[in-house]
Formats: sequence, C-alpha cells, structure tokens
Amino acid sequence: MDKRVDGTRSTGSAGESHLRSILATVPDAMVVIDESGIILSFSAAAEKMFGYAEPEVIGENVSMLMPSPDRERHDGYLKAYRETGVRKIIGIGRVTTGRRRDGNTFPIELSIGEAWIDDQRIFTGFVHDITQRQEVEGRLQDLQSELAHVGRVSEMGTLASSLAHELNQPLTAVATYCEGARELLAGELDDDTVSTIREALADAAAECIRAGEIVRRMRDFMSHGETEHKIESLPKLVTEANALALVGSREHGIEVQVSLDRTAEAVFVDRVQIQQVFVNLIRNAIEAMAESPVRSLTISSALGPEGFVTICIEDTGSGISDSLAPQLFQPFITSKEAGMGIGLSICRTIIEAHGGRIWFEPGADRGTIFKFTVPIAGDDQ
Amino acid sequence: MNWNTIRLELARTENFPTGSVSRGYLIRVPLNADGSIDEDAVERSPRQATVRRFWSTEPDESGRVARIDGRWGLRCNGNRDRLLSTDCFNIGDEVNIVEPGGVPVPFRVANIRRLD
Repeated sequence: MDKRVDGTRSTGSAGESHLRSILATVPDAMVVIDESGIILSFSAAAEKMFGYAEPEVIGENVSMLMPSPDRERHDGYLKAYRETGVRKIIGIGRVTTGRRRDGNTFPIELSIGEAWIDDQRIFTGFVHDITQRQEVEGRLQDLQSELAHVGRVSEMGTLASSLAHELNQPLTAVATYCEGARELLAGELDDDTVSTIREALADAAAECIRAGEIVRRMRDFMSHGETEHKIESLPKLVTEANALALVGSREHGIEVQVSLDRTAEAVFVDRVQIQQVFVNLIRNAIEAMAESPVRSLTISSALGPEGFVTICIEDTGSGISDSLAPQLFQPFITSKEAGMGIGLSICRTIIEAHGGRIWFEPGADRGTIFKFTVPIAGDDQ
Repeated sequence: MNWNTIRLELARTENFPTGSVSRGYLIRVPLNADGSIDEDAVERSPRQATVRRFWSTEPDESGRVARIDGRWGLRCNGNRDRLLSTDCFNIGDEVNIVEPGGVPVPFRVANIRRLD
C-alpha cells in the first residue's frame, strides 16, 4: 500500500464527512495537522495507538506524540520547511519513534503527505506501529547488508591471526626453496642440478604469487568495510537507531529518555556504523532489563573531551558481573545463552575506527552505563 | 512491591480551560493502601523514586521524588525544586504542583499503574 499522499490539491468540497469516513476506516493511525503543527483530526486507530481520545488532542501541538529530542524540535522542523520548502520527510517517510500517553515509546514508520484545502496547508501523518512487524526487516535490508560489512571489519582481528598463519606457509616454502638453490649453486653445476635449481626457483616464485593472492584477498575483504565519514545529526541518528532497536522487541513498558547536548549535535561519523553501535547497546540494555522491576533507558550526550562528544546509554538492568567485566569487549564473550558475543567487540572496533573510545561504568543504583565518544564535526569538514 | 507510576495531566487553568493531556508528569513512587506515598519504601530505594515531566513542545525533564523541607517534592535535573501539595494520590484527584516561583499549577491524577 502506498501510504503517501503527496502534494495533493483539494477543492475543499470533499468535505468533512468524507474526511471522517476515511479517518474511521484507515488501519494506520492518521493524524492531520495544520502548518504550525496543531492537531486538526485524530483517527480511531490513532486513538488506540497513542491512548488519547480525539477531543483531548484537537488543538494540541502534534509534538506531544513524540519523545524528546523530536518533541522540542518539531516546531523548528515545520518552520524550516515553511521557509525553505526542502523536504526531509514529506513524501519520503522514515522510521522513528512515537510516545504513548503512558510515557512509553515505540517504533513507528511515519509517512507524511501535504495537501491544500481552501488555501490552508495541512499535513497528514500516517503512523504505522512497527514494534511487531516482521516485514520491516525488508525495509531495513539495505541497512543490514551494510551492517554485515561492519561485522566483517570486527572479524579482522581474527582474520589477522589466520592471515599470519596463511602467509607463513608460502614464506617458509620460499625460504626453503631459495636455501636449497643456494646450496646447489655451491656444488657442481651439471644439467640435473641446474634443472633442479630452476624448479626450486619456479616453486619459490609460485609461492610468492600465492602469498600475493592472500594479501589481495585480504584487501578485497577490507574494502567492503571502508567507512564513509560524513557530517551527521546526532539527534536524527539517535531517533532512528532507537526505533530500529525497538523493532521486534518483545519487551514492553520500557521508558526511553533521550536528552542530548544541543551544543554537540553535528558529528563526523559513518552513520551506518554508529547506528550499529547504538542498536547493539540499546538492545543489550533492553535485554539486561528483562527481569528488572524498573525498566528505564536513558540516552544522553555531553560535549567533551575536546573534539568529541560523549554519549551515555544507561539502563536499570542487572548490571555486569565482575567475572565478565574485564573481557567484555573481547569477541566471543557473552552472558547470553543465545548470544555470539561479538556485538560489543563490533562496537569497540567501530568506535576505535572513529578515533573514539568505549567503556562502561556501573549505574547509579544498579544497571550499567555504556559510554563512548565520537568526533564532533569541526570547521575543516 | 507497592511501586506505582502515577500520571498527572494538567487540569483546568486560565490558559487551558479544559486542561491539557500533553502536559504532565509521570511519578514513580511506592503507595500505601490509602494512596499516600510510602516514605519508608522511598528511603530504602531513593533512586527508584523518579519523576519525568512531559510538556508539549519542551524537552523532557527528569529527576527524583524526594522530601524537601518536610514535604514531597520533585527535584528535576537542572531545575529548581517543585513541591507537591499532597502526599496522597487517587485517580481523579486534583493535586497542585507548586512551581519554583510559588505559583501552584493544578493537575489531575489521570492514571495510577502498579509496577510488578
């Protein structure tokens, strides 16, 4: 279903009753706002999804349906669109998060259409709850295939040791052939000996080519992991990653709170890789809180150290055992029955490739705070 | 466990004649059977007694529910303390939250959800 209503001009004669009938039957939540963000109508599905009745929200700012940091920025988004006409979401759609009346956030796919009714510009948002949606995997496929490359980068450590082993074999063989040839050259040079020397040198050359092949394979492997650093908006990265991390989550009732330092919003990173770090850490946090009475996830940022912004992801989960703590970022270390134990090692590889660092601290009460630094965008970018 | 999440939503005021559901607080505290805050339980786990403030177009605020000058108050990070006019919460009640300047703002207890 194409849910985008895009740039439609109506004569206005469609009338309110027509709109009502649409609102009552649309399976996705539908929210209509005016150009300053004030809610004009709120479908039955939206009532169910967000927990508000239509009369309660008419006249309110639509930002009430969003968690921070979008909530306080939404008026700015609308203003920027009115002034510049640059479309960031209209007709494009994006995965983001919504906030229910009880304060919980959930992942949504949001499509927005713009229409004119009697010279009044309105925006219609179609909101699809993707918490349980399997098909979303399809939409995220591009992202995931890119993430696979990230996984490869972290395998490089393992690869390096096997590479050393593989290269050692041809190099040892080359040394042996050359040594043999040198010894033969010291003796009498009859036809047989010359032929043997020739063979030994040919074998040595073949082994050198083999070694070169191994290096080439290594280079191919690495080139998929090449990173693309650009200036990105941290609030946007966080919102998107948050939604991605909540997709398919069976845990409910998790309060997610995002509070970002407004002085450090532009970062210079590879978006896909840093989102992978967020997704890994948020999913870990959600799993760690599965048995906790209080399930609260806080994502915050603060400028510093110089040239970097520090991001904190704090959960109220069970904490990290002392036995696991020293080797937590090593590959194949896990406390999960079904885990591979490479998530955090991937995170470390990515963060270190960005010149930052990642570590963790025990939470204030219980739980864990993961912290990492990423470079802020400077003037030279 | 008698911990609950209390949702307060802005009640009728001059600017909002019908109140506002997009402005409110989520308060997590242990409650006694009569709806009063269980002070002993808060003392045992002070960090669990939290508050989050949601306000239409403003960033979230968060902090702790704590005893302030002999009354229950809300201590949000980076903001001056606000005081609660009551220590008893039942659905439908109206309670005041006194802003730092001394202005009481009325809220309605919209929901109390038990945390298990």
